[in-house]
Amino acid sequence: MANNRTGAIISAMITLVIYVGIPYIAPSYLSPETMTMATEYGFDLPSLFNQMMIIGVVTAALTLIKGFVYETSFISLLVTIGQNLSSLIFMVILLGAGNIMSMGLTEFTVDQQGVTSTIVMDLRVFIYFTFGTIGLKVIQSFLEWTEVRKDAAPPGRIPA
Amino acid sequence: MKASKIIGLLITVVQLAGTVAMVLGLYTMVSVFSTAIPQGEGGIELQIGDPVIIPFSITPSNPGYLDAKLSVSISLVVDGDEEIASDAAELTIPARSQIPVDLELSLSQATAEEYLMEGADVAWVIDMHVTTLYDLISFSNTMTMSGGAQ
Repeated sequence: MANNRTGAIISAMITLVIYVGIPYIAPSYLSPETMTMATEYGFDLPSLFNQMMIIGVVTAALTLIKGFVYETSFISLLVTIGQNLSSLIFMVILLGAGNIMSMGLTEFTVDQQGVTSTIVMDLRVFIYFTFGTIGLKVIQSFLEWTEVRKDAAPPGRIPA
Repeated sequence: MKASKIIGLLITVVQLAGTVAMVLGLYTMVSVFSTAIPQGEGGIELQIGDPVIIPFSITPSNPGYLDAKLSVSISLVVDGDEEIASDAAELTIPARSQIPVDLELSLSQATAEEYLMEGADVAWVIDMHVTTLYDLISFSNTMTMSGGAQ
């Protein structure tokens, strides 16, 4: 259990650095021109970074909770499913260029030097793909949980 | 082998395949699109006569590992939505190859004199649509440029 806790704290910290720390400092490293260009192209970068940070905090919190509960507990299963769902949301945000509602079908209009460009990017197949993968991960989490419960039960006793 | 391990292995294979498909698909799509945009070097040589012919030549290339389908259309629009001339082409560009595409707009001399002059109320509309990864992903760009005698 002690090892689990240490591992969970380290994982949570790494998650915080990657998903919260980097998006937090990234805007200060991007030039104002880049930010303006992104806005002109319809990418709301501050909103994308904020969403990444929220997902990062949620994932880090779930990782931490998982390290402090017994693997056989129902909460452990729920936390693992929660982690899978947060990675699904992260992919949907990323493929939708920051717009979670677009579900991989991104459309934006750019108006530059008298030329209006309407760009449509259809990456929905990767969203469906991610849904499939996350579905498999949820099944895997459930199977692992039942296997851990079976292994932890005293000999001859079937876990409830 | 435990069932969870088998599913874990399946997930790894699926994720790996998805990542490879995504990288290859996006690379093909972006490459074809970027080479299909007319670069405007040298301008357009109008073939004066009756009708007036406006030729456009592009050579989209596909350096990727997947076939790509490209639809390209060009039109001259007046009053917001009335097409006075248009041409379109649809082609499949095999992986690691390039195909030249020639389009031309044909206008009567009177129409050309009316609309192909500085400040005329016309718009050039170029529509490009690239699909790849067995038509599963696509990228399209509709560019509208206002003004005559561009």
